[in-house]
Amino acid sequence: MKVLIAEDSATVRRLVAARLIADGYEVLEASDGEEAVKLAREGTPDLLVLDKVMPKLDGFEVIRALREDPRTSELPIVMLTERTNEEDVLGGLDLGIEDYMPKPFSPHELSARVRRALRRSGR
Amino acid sequence: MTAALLYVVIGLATVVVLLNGAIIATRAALIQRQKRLRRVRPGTETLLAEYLAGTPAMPATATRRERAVLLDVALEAIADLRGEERARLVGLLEELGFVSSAMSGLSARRRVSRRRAAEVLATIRSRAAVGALTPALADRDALVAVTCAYTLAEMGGEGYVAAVIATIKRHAVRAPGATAAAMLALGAKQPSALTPLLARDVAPPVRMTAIEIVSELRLPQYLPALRACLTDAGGTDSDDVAASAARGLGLIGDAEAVEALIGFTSDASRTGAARAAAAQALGSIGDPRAVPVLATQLRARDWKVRAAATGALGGLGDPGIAVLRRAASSGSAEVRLLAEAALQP
Repeated sequence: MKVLIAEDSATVRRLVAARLIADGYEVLEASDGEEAVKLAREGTPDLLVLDKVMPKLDGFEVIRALREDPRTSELPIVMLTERTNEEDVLGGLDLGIEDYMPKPFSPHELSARVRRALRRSGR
Repeated sequence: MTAALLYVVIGLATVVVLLNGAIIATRAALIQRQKRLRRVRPGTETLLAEYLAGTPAMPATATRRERAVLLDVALEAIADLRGEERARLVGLLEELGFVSSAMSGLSARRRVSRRRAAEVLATIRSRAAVGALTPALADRDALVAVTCAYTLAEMGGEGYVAAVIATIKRHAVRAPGATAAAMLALGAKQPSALTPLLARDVAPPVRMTAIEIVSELRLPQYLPALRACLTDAGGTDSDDVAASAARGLGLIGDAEAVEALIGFTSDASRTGAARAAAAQALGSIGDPRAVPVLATQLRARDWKVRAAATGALGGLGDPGIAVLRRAASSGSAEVRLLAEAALQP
């Protein structure tokens, strides 16, 4: 299984990557929204872990771009949101994300949610 | 005379040239420093991520530059993390002396150093720092003291509540944003700790912030205190507090406050804004006992009360809707428009 992690904080991104690799996933990394869209289209990931706040394209713009492309329209997404921002959560759910995790988050828990999201989406 | 003027001009020109030179040299040094830090950063980020993921090798901290970069990277990451990885990162920062260094920084002479130390400790929230945070509550700088209060509030523990509350009260006017953050942390971690901030002798802005926090957190244990805030004696400040309390009672949905809110809504000695807040609260609580008073307030002198009463009636089920339907054929164009708007699905 291949997971794309789109997160602008390099330490957090690499930490999540290390956790997912330890759990047996193959990992792709993107540090901004544009790179996330590019890698989602070309890297054929099975799931996207997407930070809401990112440079170039924010999380919502990334989701919209992916949903418009037949190659990525069904890609399951777990979004990292700000702790108290209800708009982020509702906006993400409206755009069809599979699950969300409010920051600060536990990479262990994120890995469990990735597993569950992949199971739900039948991958 | 001309020669003296010439000397002055030459002197001034020299000063300008020297100042420009100093500015350029400082900026160049800063740019160089940032470049060096940027070169070190990716390696540090990778090593730190690997360490947090479980590898035993620690990131390098041999030079001042490496330490500075590690602290920056760690503080950036720690805000996004919780659980095992956060604990491991806090442990690393303690082990490498960053926490003790920030603790010492709290007693630095320069205010900017103390503020930086307080911010670092607020981000890390290491229990090892409690011994330095408690005396720093007495710092003469409001931001240092309140940041330390916030950190103690975030860490929990009933032992600090009284000192944190006292710090909040002392600095609420000079640092309102920081004190609100400390109150929020206190309300979230110690759900009964904010009671002293709701008391009548507390400054109205502090009291109102505390009311908003307990209301937004929907903490029902504060309902008796909110009812007391609503019925405090009159005066503009008191009406502002009462309006906040009414909003809180509505948000939490306090059925026991209905009678008091009904009385408040129809009390013409109160400000329109406060009465409007009480009317809205009655709509949020949804008790049909409020219908008659709200129907009467459709003819209130203050437009805020009229508008709030109309909106509230829409939340009171069939009896409220019946009043609005009658109001929709009122002789007053304003009442008609408000009622029609409230009847819209």
